[in-house]
Amino acid sequence: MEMEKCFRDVEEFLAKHQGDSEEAVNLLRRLYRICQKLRDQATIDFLTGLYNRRAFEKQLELAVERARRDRSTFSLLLVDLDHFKRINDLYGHLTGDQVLRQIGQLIRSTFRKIDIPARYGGEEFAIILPGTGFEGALSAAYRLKKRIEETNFGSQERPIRVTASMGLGTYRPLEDLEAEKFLEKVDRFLYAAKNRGRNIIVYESDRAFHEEHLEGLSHEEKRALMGGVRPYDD
Amino acid sequence: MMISITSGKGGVGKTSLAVNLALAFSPEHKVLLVDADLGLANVDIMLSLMPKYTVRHVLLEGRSIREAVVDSGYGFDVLPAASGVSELAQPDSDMKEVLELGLRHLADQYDLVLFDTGAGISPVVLWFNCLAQWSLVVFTPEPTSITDAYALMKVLYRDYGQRNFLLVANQANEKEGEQYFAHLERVIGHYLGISPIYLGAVPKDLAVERSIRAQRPLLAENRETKAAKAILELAARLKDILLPQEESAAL
Repeated sequence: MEMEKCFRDVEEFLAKHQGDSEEAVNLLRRLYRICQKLRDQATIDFLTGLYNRRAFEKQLELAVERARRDRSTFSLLLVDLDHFKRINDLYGHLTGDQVLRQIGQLIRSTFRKIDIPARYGGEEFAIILPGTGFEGALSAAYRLKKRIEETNFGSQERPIRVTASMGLGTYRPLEDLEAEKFLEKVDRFLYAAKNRGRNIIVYESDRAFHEEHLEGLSHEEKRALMGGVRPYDD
Repeated sequence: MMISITSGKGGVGKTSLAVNLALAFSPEHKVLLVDADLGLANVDIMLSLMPKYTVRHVLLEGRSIREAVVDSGYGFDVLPAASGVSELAQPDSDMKEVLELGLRHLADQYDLVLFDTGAGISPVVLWFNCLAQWSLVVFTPEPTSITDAYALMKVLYRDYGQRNFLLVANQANEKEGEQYFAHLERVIGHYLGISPIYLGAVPKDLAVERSIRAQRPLLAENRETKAAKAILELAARLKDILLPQEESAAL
């Protein structure tokens, strides 16, 4: 925060001294650019252009703090590419990096501007969806999963297919979990997705939510609700 | 103790029930009824009040929340909402903070604070439901009302962690109410894995209609009609449920 304020102050100063060609101003401008670059390096993952792990953890803390204060909700999606080592082994690391970059682009184009996508580890990604409840997050997760499945990450002659396992959690403000505990919880879902044979999305095991990416009530729930409703005379 | 009175669907009799429950608890208990449909007031109209200040003056003009509280004339207090103020329909997080501080401060001075929420599942409806320890969900024996009540509870539980639900069947006789509750309870248990508590049913009664038109609460007019008796029974059950908590809180 202090850094951001300093950046703003310097920006203001530079704007005020637009026309000045004094040495000091030029020097400050150069220093400013270097600082900006360093800041980006500290928060941005150089390969994919998404947030890095450190920035992600900070953002997650902020999201939890906000949700607790406002009693609002948000969702967290963890994505891990399946058998990624094989791609590196088969095609080499440069191709592996290319796949990671493309996944980064897919993630960016699948989610909204307000969402916070990060590269969490080697082939692991994390997306924070502010203000988004479970259903909205699940439909976004399905969209991403489908797009990854449908993308050819190689060439026509040598197609490369990738799948992903995902863990999805929605932060419930009344449960009041610490950021770290919440991350652990969603990480367990991701781990379960790996264990259950990969290429699936795992979330809190509520039976109602097994039907794919429906917003609102599922057909099954609606049927169940209507099942017992009999017209009644007063 | 804060309880929100809510329904998902509109027009199921929330405000009327809220007003009469407030009356049923008074004057033995000190009750504050909050019109939680902040931008579209109903409670003051139902009670024929002309409040000088409303929640609008608290949130937009910096008045203290105490100043906006008025005596209903029936033994309980009311925090009135504003009429047709769209800025209040979705208060921002600063407004919510002011409101929460004020409400918590007020809650210390009352035995019971009731929130009469708006219809729907907008963020502010969910917010009031999460601020309250209990959500009292009103439904009528209509498929739309039952579906909306369920959808509201689903969102509240799954995205916010609220699991304390009290159910009331409105415009339903005793048998209908029990049947519909048993049904909802099954669906909620099966899909959400939680157990709501049933408070009872309030039957259709022309006296309710009449009291709303006269802008006088049913329980102030006549406690012998079938709806009035049912509401008094609901209140008694509610007391039984809340009392153990009050006792433990006092210890």
